Amino acid sequence: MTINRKLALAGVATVLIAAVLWTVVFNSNDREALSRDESLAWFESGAFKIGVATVPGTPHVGENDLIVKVRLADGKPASNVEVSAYAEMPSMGAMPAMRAPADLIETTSGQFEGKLDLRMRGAWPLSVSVADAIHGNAELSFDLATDRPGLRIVTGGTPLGTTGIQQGAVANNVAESQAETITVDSRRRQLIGVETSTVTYHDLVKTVRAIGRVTYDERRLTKVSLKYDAWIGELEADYVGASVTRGQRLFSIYSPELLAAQQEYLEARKRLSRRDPDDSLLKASRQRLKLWDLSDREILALEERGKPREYVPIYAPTDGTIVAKHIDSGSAAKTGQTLLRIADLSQVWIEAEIYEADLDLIREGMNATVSLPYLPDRSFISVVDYVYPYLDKASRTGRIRLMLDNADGSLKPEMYAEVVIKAVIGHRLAVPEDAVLFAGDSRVVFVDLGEGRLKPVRIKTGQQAQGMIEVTEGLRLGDVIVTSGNFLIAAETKLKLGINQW
Amino acid sequence: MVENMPNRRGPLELLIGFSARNWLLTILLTAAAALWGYHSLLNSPLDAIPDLSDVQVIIFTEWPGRSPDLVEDQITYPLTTTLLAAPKVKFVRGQSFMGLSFVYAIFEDGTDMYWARSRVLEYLNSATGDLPKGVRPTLGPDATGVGWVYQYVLVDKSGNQSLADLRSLQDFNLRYALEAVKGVAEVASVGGFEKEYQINVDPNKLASYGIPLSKVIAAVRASNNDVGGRVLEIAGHEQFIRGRGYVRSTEDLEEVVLSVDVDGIPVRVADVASVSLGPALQRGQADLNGEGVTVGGIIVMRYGENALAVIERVKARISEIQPGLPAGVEIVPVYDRSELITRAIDTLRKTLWEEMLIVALIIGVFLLHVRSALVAIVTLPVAILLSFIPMYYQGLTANIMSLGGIAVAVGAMVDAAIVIVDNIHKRLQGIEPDSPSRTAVIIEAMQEVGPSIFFSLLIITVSFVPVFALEGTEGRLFKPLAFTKTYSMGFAALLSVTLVPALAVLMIRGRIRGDRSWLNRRLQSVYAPIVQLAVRWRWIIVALSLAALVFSVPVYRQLGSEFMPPLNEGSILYMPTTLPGISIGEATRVMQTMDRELMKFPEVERVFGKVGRSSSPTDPAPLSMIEINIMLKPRGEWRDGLTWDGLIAEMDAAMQFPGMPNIWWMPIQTRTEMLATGIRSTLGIKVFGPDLGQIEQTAIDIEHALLDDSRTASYTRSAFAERATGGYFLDFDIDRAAAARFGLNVGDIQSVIEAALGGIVVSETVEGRERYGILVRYAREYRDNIEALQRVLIPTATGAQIPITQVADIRFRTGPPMLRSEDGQLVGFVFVDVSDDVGIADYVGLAKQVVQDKVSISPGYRLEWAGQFQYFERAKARLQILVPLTLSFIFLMLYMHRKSLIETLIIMSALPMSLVGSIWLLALLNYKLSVAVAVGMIAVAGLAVELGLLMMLYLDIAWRKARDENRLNDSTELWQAITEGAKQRIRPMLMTGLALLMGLLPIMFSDGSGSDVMKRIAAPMLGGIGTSLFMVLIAFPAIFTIWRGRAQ
Repeated sequence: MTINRKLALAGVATVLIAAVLWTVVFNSNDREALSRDESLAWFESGAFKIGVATVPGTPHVGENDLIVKVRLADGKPASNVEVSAYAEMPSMGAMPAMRAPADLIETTSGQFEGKLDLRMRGAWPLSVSVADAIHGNAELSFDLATDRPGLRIVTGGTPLGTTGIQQGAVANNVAESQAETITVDSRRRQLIGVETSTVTYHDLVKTVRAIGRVTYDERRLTKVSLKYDAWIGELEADYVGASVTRGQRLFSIYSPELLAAQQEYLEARKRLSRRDPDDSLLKASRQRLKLWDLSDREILALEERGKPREYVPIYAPTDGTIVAKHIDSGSAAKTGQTLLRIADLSQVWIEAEIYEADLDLIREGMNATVSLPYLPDRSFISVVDYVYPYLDKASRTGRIRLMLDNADGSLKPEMYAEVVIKAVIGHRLAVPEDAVLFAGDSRVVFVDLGEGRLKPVRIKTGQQAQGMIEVTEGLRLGDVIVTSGNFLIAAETKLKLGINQW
Repeated sequence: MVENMPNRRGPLELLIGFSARNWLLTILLTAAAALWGYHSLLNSPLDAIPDLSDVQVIIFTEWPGRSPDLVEDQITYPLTTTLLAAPKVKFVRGQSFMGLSFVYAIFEDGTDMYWARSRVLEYLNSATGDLPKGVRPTLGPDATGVGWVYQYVLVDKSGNQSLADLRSLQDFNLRYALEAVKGVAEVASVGGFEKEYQINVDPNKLASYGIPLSKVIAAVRASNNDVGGRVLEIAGHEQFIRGRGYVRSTEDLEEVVLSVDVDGIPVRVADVASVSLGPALQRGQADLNGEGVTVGGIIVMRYGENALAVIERVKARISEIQPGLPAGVEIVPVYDRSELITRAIDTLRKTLWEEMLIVALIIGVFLLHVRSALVAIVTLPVAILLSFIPMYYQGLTANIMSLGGIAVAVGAMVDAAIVIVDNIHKRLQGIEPDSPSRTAVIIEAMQEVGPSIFFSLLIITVSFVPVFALEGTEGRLFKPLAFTKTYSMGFAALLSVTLVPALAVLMIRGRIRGDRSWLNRRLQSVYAPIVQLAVRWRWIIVALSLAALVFSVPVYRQLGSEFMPPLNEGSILYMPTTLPGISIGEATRVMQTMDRELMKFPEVERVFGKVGRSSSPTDPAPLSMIEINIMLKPRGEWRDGLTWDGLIAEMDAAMQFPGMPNIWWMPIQTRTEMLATGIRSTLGIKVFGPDLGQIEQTAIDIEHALLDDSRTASYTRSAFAERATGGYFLDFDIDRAAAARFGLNVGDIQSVIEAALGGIVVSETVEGRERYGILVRYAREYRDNIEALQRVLIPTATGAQIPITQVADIRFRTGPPMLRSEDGQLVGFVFVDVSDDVGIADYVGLAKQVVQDKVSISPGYRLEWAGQFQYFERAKARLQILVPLTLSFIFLMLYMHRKSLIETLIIMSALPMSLVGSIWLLALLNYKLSVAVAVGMIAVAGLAVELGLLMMLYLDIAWRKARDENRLNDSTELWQAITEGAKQRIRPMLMTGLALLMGLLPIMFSDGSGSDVMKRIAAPMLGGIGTSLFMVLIAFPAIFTIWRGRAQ
């Protein structure tokens, strides 16, 4: 029985030892790799040198070990620092974001270990933060993804290489400025089509569009009326739209008053011709005819003929087009009644309505482009002739006036016209509209710092015009900014830098 | 105790006797049943994995152009609240997107889909009244995203078809042709350009004519109709009278009269707007191989259909359609699930054949008698065929889980036959081949072990009961497996007392060498000393067993846990996702670059990219989500040495798009995950309430409280409140006072925003089968930049038109791009990860206190504690009751059978031993604990008991024999008897054990679609059987000796 007992003891002991060994091996085969410094990637950040590694080196779905070593600039392990880290899978569509924290525990001085539980295949950007009351804080972000080997630094640190722990310290401010940048190498830039341009001064031109109408040049509008009652005899300008030339016979009239006046004149002349040509009566009677719009030529003709005309012709006072006709042959015309309106259309006005907000930009003498829907192929260059000094009560618009030559008569009054006035706002620092991210009240652009580094910068904007936006604050002349592909750059920034709100 | 057991004629013995004597009848009956089973097998629907989706009805509502919060308030909220009251509704989830509302009504498990749909319709009826005018909710198809079984694109090689033409072809021709295919619930279209008549209004002209936009809308609406004027009788013929007025061209629209000016001159649409055919607003786009935008179609299979059959029918229909397509247009498949299904089924079929072969080999080698081996071997296919009968009538699909159920049972299924045949051989030793008593001996031999073995098979069957109790996703996944395993085991048990006796009588002829074969002698000579040692050092053996058990505990603790191992579907779904707010143009551009990059891989056959959503209500994808189906070339054409994971790693390295984190998934997995967009962290706190801002604030407060408070801080690995912002908004803030000065109401201004900026589809043209919208909107240059927006004109009461900036401020804001609600309340999530040091239930208790103390919850707000832990807890709670219950039931059964408490206890002792093997093998393979593993462990319990029962039976037979022959006078004699008994039975024990063990090996060595899940089930079984075999072969004789020694 003693042999049995010994054997039993030996057996139990073997099992015990095997089990213990096995458990130890089980626990430690991963750890072994970690004790060596060279498997860690080292970064310089703030006052620290930070080494980071995952075990396995290619993280897999499930639990992975995370090792963080923190050393001071002189290479000594940092003590009394607080280190935390987490990986976060960003939200996707309807799926919310997931966060995997690493419960970092300080195993030896300056060495922290924990587990990252990556529950899904995909990208898990990793953030590591180191906080210390004396040396300040450091924050690093890495690109981490399952089934992809290695960690890539995104922000917050300069790689020292695996053996670079001896390298000299990099100035603090560099590290700090890096904390706000993301790095996108040229291949990745090409993938998403990033384009850049340099910030420079532009003549900002604001386009003011207005609706207008072609109207008569009020100064070239003539009315034909009579200063006596009359009856129209023969009407020669007998339709609206007929064009007339100055001195052309428009119509003839029979007016008893005019007839009387002619006779009076003729008689006065007869009586007084030999006596005194400057007789006041004759003069008055001639003056009357003249005031009644008989020309000297007509009076001369009257004198020669010696007898009054019953139907007196009325001539066109100006070149132009008959735009209104209120008489027909034989109709009676009262004193002062407008019989015809003649407009000179060789020059027309465009009256346009400018909205209150734009009115300030408009000055007399500015160039304006006029186009008419009826003449789609043509546009006319004009100048702002006059800015009316008041607003329309109902529409809250101000009126401006432009003048256009209309030699061929293609501009017809009452036509609708579109007026475009380019108002130069000034020589301003401006960026293309596409470069600016409008996020709530913030305006953000991405500045290319070179070497693939991009930095989001908040700017203040002023005027916008022609696809350009004035920058009043945040950018300097010569800054290089991203003008295309910036949605993804913005997304990358938000994912990597954890900027939730702009 | 078990005095006269072998001699008593129980019903089973009678059945065995009857079957053996009427062998022809038995065989005929079995053959008939097998034929029936074969018929069922041919007709059973095939699928890759069981459909894991809940019974859900999707209510899909479009309200074009509206912001998420508006959609939430006006549509999602009224709909969810109404549906909540519907019977059998578990919960109602809502999602509000830009212009889209999705409401998911999830019904209790087991609810009939069509019953549920009609309930939803009923309740929708009453809800429609509360919705905005013109908004019509529609029921999604009777399908889920998992039902996307086939996808294709239209490729035009001739270059004559525009994208709009292709889309029209898809929408009005292909779609209906394919939707008519049996089993297809919906054919969704994606990509290309949907044609639309667009009336691009020039606001300046409108203003100069003094015509408000509303008049344009009304005029167009009134200009597109056909009417009927009944009939006119002429000469005995009926002439139908029609008034023809459908818009058929852009010219027709240009002629629409808006008003007449003072001179009687009509103002037509052409005078104020340009009319063109253009692309409608898109929320999705597709691309093939990076070659350019394309038109795609998605076949959505009806819930519960036979995927393979549906795909085949669809393919047949496509080949019918193909010749009729315009010249040069081709339908190119870009995703075909049938490949996966056939591959997965093939993997399992191959595994099944391998298993059967191995098992047959084992039997053949051990028995060294072909005909006897055949008796055992024949039962296998027959039992498998039979198990398809209930499967078929139950509507179970043949998928990797249900076939896997058979695969894990194969080893156990032949056990009965093995034991019976072995016993016959034993008894036939020394009996002449032509002895008349031969048949009687055979029957007696069968009756000796038959009941016991039938019983043990029954126990195996019963032990699987807890799996049936699983609920939810895990239930849906593993129940098919449980069913098929149970069926095949049940039928195997039945066959062992019917077909096996019949065949045995018929087939076991000729000279039986029995167990005196060379192999057997060698086995016995190896085994005998081991048993002798074991019997001598029985206490050590017991101690060692106990020690092994104890040391398994830390190993067990080491194992991680996962919900379900991934299923390799053999095709990749690359799903890069960016933040919300990307425009369709940018997204399409990026997607095309991605496609081009992917095409550079020599392994890639074709890539089909989709950004945003298709027309299917089962597709709620936002524009920020790109889904790229990568079709790979056959494995043989890959670069040498490239593995699946290697390829994905390479692709991942190449596809580093900034701002677009990668996800490499597989199609079914992705669709399943996307269906269940609940909380996936272990613990989630849902904050319900009426105001999103307040919800967010509360959630953030909870986050801080849990992280900071000393009670929970050390246990909280992370707490993270979801931030709801991320959408970009441009708001017109209407100044009521300013509006009032112009005599305007808010509505007047809003209707202009709606129509001028958003555009209104005022009518639909009817052109034969095709229908296109007519959209009225400002021309692009009057709304495509901020400057232009400031100049949107509002008609006032006086007839003047004023720019909108006079009555409203333009503000940029950020806000939620999507709103989530549950049971009618807005909800925000706090994800909490709890450290392993604390039980989740304890943590929830602590956290609840912390939240109560630290976070002030405004009235109207409430919290819910949810998350995956609920499922774990649920499964755990279920199993915690059911596993002991089942064990005690097995115990009871065993006791009833053996009628001995101690014997039962000894047999049951094989159970913990089997766990030892399971755990160590899992640890060695680095598998995690999962439901699959638990299922494997449950399965192994039955097998362990079976082995134990058998050994017990054999030891008992030997002991009884020795006692009857009066050879049990001292302990040496007892040892002798036991050793001899064990030695004699090494052959059946090894045969059954090895059949079980080797039967599972093909699963472990299989590689292919679906093998990962099966391996997780098979591994614990393999390990467990290994140790139980050790237990019963070595420890049982030891324990038996202790027991019988005591009894002496």
